[in-house]
Amino acid sequence: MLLTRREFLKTSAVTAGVAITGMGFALHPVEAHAVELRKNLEEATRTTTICPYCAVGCGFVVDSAEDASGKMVVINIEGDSEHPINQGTACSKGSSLYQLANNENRLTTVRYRAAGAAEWQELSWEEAIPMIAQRIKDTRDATFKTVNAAGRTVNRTLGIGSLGSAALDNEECWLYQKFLRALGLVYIEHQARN
Amino acid sequence: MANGKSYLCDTTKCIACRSCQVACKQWNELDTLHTSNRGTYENPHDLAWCCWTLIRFKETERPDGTLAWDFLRNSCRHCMDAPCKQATEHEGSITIDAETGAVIFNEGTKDESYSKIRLACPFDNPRQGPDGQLYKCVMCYDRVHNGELPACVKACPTDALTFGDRDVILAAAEARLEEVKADGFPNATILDKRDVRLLLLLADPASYYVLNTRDG
Repeated sequence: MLLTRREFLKTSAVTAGVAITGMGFALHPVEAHAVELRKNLEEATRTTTICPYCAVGCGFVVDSAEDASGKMVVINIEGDSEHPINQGTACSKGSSLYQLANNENRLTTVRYRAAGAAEWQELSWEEAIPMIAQRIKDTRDATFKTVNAAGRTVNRTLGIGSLGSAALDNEECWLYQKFLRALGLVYIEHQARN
Repeated sequence: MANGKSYLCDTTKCIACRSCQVACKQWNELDTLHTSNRGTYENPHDLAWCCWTLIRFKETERPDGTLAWDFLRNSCRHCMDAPCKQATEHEGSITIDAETGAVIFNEGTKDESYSKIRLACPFDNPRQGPDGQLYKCVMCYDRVHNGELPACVKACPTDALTFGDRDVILAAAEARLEEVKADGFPNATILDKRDVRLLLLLADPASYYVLNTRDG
């Protein structure tokens, strides 16, 4: 009979319990009581994802549930046992993914520091996105070159660079790369190279 | 001896990534501590009420002059005959989980003498939380009861940590010990294998590892 690891553990756990109590040779005073998981994973919403950190691409299972105020929050993230790459395991960064979602230090609003200003100010996305778009357009219009000095067609801008995205997943990277290449960027780098 | 469960921590496979440390915190929702860089990757500097698993690092010079860096997991050994339980004065403050053999600190440890329980532990594991309760590794017995591996074992990427029925783990540990000995480590040992549920397999003499958590 072929058992999954989960089924195997369940079976062996029950067998061990019977062996102790049934044969009556437990030497220690023991306390028997039903034990529930400290996190209610049975009723949680399970979502699979890929770790955003390195290029190994380990699979993880995210369990989320409603908190007291009815908001969906992540309650547990651990390795996906059925994922062919990591088979449930994780490195220390992967094991900490829970903190990526639940972290009081996480920025949740746009932070803007104007040229020459010493202080950061908070902007809404409605203010920030048109501001960024306008600057990209102005810079691209001013610096876009269709041909280089040798007369070859290049259709590029050297006036804009992109630094970031090391924590994006594969699909997000594809979209981001498409977007940058469409603008004509060639200076594309991410922050995890060291 | 009761069967129950056991861990094998095969230090020959441990790469000290400390995934076990983090997975433990994640599942058990343990608080963090402010720590400082002490010139070692070992962090935090000691077990705490909110740090139940800690990988110890020790670098030593071998007789042939080469340097070696050894890692050893420190966490509750889940003793077969737990001295911490024997040191209690209140019924039920420390219990042994029937199915797994896990040594469990309950809320009643608030009423115990912290120093007495901590000193009773041969491996210096119990720590007192801000709420007065004593804490240490609980073998993720809630997970084990529900057919899951302890968080640390599941996370271990090199299979240095394995977990299962005690008889199976003991046999696997003995077989691995013979392999390691034949592989050029004649002094390899399994620490306290008859007395504890966390079997630590060392390739080299025990003096090369940080065995106890008492500083110094």
